[in-house]
Amino acid sequence: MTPRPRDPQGPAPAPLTGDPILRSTSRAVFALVLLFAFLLLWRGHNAPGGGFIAGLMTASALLLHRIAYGSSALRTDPVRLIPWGLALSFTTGLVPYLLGKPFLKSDYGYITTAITGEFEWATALLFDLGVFLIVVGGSLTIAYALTDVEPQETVEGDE
Amino acid sequence: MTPADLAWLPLAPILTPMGLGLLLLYPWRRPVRVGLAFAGALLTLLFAAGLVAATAGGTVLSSSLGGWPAPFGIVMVADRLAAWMSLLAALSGLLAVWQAAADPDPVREKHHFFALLFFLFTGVQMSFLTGDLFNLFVAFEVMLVASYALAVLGSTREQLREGFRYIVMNLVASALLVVTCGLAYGVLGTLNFAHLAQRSAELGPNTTVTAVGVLLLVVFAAKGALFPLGFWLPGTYPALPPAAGAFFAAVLTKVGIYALMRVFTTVFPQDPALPNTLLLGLGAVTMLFGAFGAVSQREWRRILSFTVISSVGYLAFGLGLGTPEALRASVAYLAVSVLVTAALFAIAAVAERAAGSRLVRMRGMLDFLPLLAGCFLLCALTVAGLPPTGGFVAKYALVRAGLAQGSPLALVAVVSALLASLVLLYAMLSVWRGFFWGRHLLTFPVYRVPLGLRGVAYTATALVAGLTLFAGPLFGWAEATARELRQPEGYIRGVLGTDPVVIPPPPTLPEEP
Repeated sequence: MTPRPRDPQGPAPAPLTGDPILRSTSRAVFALVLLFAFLLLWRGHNAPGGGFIAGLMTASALLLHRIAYGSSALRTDPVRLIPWGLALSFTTGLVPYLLGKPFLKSDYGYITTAITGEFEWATALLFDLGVFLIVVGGSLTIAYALTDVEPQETVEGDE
Repeated sequence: MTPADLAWLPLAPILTPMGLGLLLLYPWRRPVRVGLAFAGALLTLLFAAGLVAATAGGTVLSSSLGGWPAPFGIVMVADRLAAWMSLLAALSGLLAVWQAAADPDPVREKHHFFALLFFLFTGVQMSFLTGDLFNLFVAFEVMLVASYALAVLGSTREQLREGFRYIVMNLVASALLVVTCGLAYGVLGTLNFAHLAQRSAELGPNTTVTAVGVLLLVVFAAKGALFPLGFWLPGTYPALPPAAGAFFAAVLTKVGIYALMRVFTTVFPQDPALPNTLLLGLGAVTMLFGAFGAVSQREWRRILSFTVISSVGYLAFGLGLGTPEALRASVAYLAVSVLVTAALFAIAAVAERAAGSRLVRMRGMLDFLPLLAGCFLLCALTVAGLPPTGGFVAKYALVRAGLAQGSPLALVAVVSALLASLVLLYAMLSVWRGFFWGRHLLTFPVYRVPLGLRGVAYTATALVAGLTLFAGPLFGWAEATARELRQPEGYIRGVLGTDPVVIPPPPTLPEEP
């Protein structure tokens, strides 16, 4: 769906936009929340966490940014993330299926480097990344749509 | 080929529409899009036919997601019934794609009409092939989310009003389904159909399990539009664009019926008295409700929507009788009902286009559309259940099964079935009289209908006629399906294997150093 042309004044800014305290704290909180979200995404395939919850946290960080600054931190329309995320997750599941293994079967292995020590990689991480993109895209689309409601819209057949 | 070699097959009809739906999200030019849609629908049909061929010998195919074994991971299972439903859905899907291709709708297609249609196919195929109660809920949601979008796509006033009712009703039913999944898990400790069946068989007749079963019955009755819960249907389906409406009408209510069949034959067959009584009673009322509703309407697709409700009533009646013959007749009637509904909605699309109006009272269209009139007559007789049609064979078998079962409620339901058939016949004949018969008034223009759109109606009717010609093999298949459904052991063995399920002990925490 393409975004509607905005009306020239734009939607009314949120009441807190421009609040200096919110602006300065939101910057730190934004970074912290994103960091934690990425940690959840990173370990999600094996421990509590995962793409869904990481996506929700990222979406709330972006919403906080939007409330504080009145503009979106994402440069693209969030709807565009949904098909890409879906395609990524689907392809991750499809590859083993086409290779004759069960659908969604995850491959994994261990890499040892000097800095991180031993860590486990898994293709399930790609699946999680897809879920992450879908959730960020979906929840932001819903939230932005709710902030942009114009009650005077009419539909075909209205008098 | 052993079942293990074919373990990939139950996933194929689900993954094909899903992948194609994703591809269709890209803004291709229309010919590419239509080509992709046809390829996807044909491939799905091919895989579904493969499933039917693979399960014809009584094999139960099971395919685990991610390689996690059965009661713990999610499995997709195909037995005769699931494969059969998958085939019928794929066939209606192909007809819907054809209809959509022959009837360009630039606005809706720009907003991903084809992709949504394919996601709808994905959800429907997954509902038929899943072997897990919670996954059934997920499949319903995939199907419903796509159908919500299709229901309001285009945002006409009628669509928004009817779509809202549809969404609220289905959301409530879905919420109840999740709650019931939780209860089932609490009572039986598993959600895998085969494992549920095994454990409920070990428990024997049990009030709590019956209560869970009745809750599931309420949910699936809402999805399948049984009497008090089907009020949303006759308004919603006519509001949809014709191609989507045809698929909705032909398949979506049957998903509810399939789920009822699966739950009350394979999973919870121990204590059938209460669910069967409910199904019989509701089915008897639903057929009459649908039949009288069809008489009361003046618009093509509204009349047909009520006949859909009526057919759901017949299926519930067959299921509620609980005898092997009744089950066999229901499986056969399921095929008849899916195909005849698809055909009638395709005919309605042509008729509405030719007359430029949704109303039935046009008179004299026989002169302009003689072949369509023939098609309508065959389908109308099938819906009413008169010879020489497949509808007659299936309804006759249903009524005979009802008489053979012989309980007072069954006899009342039989009377209601016969009465509903008569009323349906009257409704269909009044469509015939109103639209095809008589002298055409010159003040009403007649529009040309593209050959593609007429072709759908003719092909679908040919399929209905095929059911009549091949009623013997159809009943043979239905007989085998019913036999398989009466003996859940085969299903359980196909999914869980012959070894008893061992629940591993909880992992011990590593000692803190």
